[in-house]
Amino acid sequence: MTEPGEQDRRLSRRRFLAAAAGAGAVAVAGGTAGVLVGTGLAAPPTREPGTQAALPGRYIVPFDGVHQAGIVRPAVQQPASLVAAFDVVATDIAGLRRTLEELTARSRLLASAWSPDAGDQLYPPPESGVVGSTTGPADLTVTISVGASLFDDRFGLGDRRPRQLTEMPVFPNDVIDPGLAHGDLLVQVSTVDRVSAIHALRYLQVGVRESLRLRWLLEGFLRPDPVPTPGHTTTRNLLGFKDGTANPPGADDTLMDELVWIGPGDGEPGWAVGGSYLAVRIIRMFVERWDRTALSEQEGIIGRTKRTGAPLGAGREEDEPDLVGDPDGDTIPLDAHIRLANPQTPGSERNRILRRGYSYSRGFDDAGLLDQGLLFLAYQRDLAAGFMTVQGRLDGEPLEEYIRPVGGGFFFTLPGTADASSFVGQGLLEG
Amino acid sequence: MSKHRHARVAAFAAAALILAACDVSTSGGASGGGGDARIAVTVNDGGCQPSSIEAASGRVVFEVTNGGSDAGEFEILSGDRVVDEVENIVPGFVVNFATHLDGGDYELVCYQLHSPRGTLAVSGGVAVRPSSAVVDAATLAGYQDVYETYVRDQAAELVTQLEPFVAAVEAGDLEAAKAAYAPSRPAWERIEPVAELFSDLDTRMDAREEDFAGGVEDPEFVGWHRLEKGLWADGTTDGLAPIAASLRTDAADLQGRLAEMDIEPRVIARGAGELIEEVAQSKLTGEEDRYSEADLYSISANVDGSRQIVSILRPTLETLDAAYVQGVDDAFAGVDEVIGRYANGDGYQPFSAISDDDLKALQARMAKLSEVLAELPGRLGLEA
Repeated sequence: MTEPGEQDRRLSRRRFLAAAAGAGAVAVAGGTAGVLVGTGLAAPPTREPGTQAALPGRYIVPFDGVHQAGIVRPAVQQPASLVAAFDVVATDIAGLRRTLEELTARSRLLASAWSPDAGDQLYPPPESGVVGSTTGPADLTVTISVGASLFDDRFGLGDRRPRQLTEMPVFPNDVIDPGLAHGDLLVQVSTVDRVSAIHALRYLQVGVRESLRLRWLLEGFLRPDPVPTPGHTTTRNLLGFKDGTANPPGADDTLMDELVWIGPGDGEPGWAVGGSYLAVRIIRMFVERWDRTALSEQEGIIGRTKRTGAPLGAGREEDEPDLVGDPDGDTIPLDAHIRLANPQTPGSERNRILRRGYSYSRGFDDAGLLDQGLLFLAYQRDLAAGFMTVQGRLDGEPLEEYIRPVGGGFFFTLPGTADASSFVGQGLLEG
Repeated sequence: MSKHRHARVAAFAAAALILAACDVSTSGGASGGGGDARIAVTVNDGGCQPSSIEAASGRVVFEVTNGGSDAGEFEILSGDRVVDEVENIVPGFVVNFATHLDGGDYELVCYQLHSPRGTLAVSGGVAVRPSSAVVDAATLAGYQDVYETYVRDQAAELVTQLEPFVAAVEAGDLEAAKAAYAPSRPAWERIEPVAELFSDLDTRMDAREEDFAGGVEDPEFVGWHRLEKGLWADGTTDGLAPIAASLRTDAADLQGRLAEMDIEPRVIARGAGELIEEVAQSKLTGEEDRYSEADLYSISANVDGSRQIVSILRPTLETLDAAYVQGVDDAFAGVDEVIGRYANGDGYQPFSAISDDDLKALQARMAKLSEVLAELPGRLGLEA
């Protein structure tokens, strides 16, 4: 029997868990394997007394699929993310293959509700243990992308490069820190909390120590919604505005095929079908200056009402901005961010991109100013029609006074894996 | 010299005697082990199903399903002691929970603390854990003797290597002193984890300026790196002669202390990894020999010292797991390859000659070598 003191400690922990669970959504076990699939809520949220619940957002997101997880799956964007760019220092394609196989195997394990062996007293433990005895369910996704530099002469992959994949150019407002830009390989871990993301990164690195050297790393976060709902969020960026309201819905498979996923007739290498172009931008925000800007000016720069998120002149966040009826910019200025980003002109619907960004905060700079901003991540089927076009429209927007892109890069997010016998990047390596 | 030395050497010469060699593949790696005893158990309001479980000692994997509607747990208790546990299992989930169990009777916490308890009867004796592969004492003593001899040889070489450098500084010959700086250090670096055990000598001989409150001007900052700073940054031997002379005295002192020192097998086994950790953590930035840029002399000497330890332990390691030794050799070869590109006659090119790509490769490979060598004590069944 446990001692009384021990029981007390355990009971209080249990009460805490129960209280935490009661505040969240009910998770219901589905399927014979007892695995919750994180493509949406398994049951409507409830606060009925007496119902028992998992902690919010605790699902297993299946690792395998036509497309990698972490882009449209899970439907409710995880609140914590970590993006790590690596230089591949493996010297040949066999080394690159081992690296991708190991990354895949470890990612698949992390995504599952994996319970690592406690290990042996005389050895370093098999993993860091920072999440305790089991890794999941933790809504954990690992998404692997490649940069243009992987297609140089090191691995003989030159003729397999996705045709639009180049090193990210320097745009007019950019002041790029080389220590925050580009990379051969990009690994994004998204999950329920920062600890879980750090755990995953450390576990992934152990397997690929000799072949991947960190190039840059940025942790992102967003404020989780009290009631997570697919396609709807109340989360705001660090300018205090709702961000992503006009995002195309990830649950719309047809639309995603149109806007996000590489298709068979796209003129891309065959292996790339099911992948997506990823534009990463690390956008510093000068938040002190922004906070000293009049509300009317803030709202005019963005084009939305700050409090409600509604487009200027509209009533609700979900309302479409009436740009056609406002050709002179009387309500929504002609250079407002939302108008430039999505002008609703004929044909501009094909320029839409799927954003899945995060806020970041990393201390302060030499001037004593907070170093905060947006870790912008946008997926698209066609980089020229997508990010490049949107970025071109935004060039010179008034918001530029308050932001400065300092890093990022262009990447190609690899297609998914059919099943546990395949690895991410297999198609690329096997041609 | 220890009076047991003769016996130890004999034992070593008679080659390694291994008491037990077991599978040691559980550390690291993403692949799961096969062939374990697997026991399915469901926990819910009614406790454990089945409620009494039997198993054989050793590694056991419980496939615990939470059949309840609340977060559940599964604990194995021996008296008051929690032997192992898995907590916070989400309703509907299966957790594969691996543990090592010794023979005996256990109580099980099933689902929640106040749920009906289960019992677990484990037959057999103390579980054979992966690292119970041990080396007999005579073999270890033999290794110890060989390594102690190596350390003493290096200490003697240090005294020898240091002399031209000290003499040049004392003679006020700036160019000769600069030329003799890098060659004066390798013997020290080869036995660094042992030499560093004497913290007074380590501070006086090899500390860096940031180790002192007063930085580069701190009067306590002496030794190699103070001399290095004087020769390269100040461009003069003025005032350095007493510091050089003191370095000579300290090296002789170190030699004397090491002659008396017993170096336990666990210290030796740890040392192989420590030498590389030291490099990976604080030498692949060029900060060690920042004025002379002689870093590759230190780094390659650290690698040599580590390799020497592996070479001494090799007979036992190969008997235990030849694949592991191959992995260690491969990791050393990966590091050697990059360092070798910067060889220059008997020495090395300056740190800044290393290309960005090669430096990244060296950092990654050194990290891999650290990781592989971190298993070394465990492989020998030694407490780290």
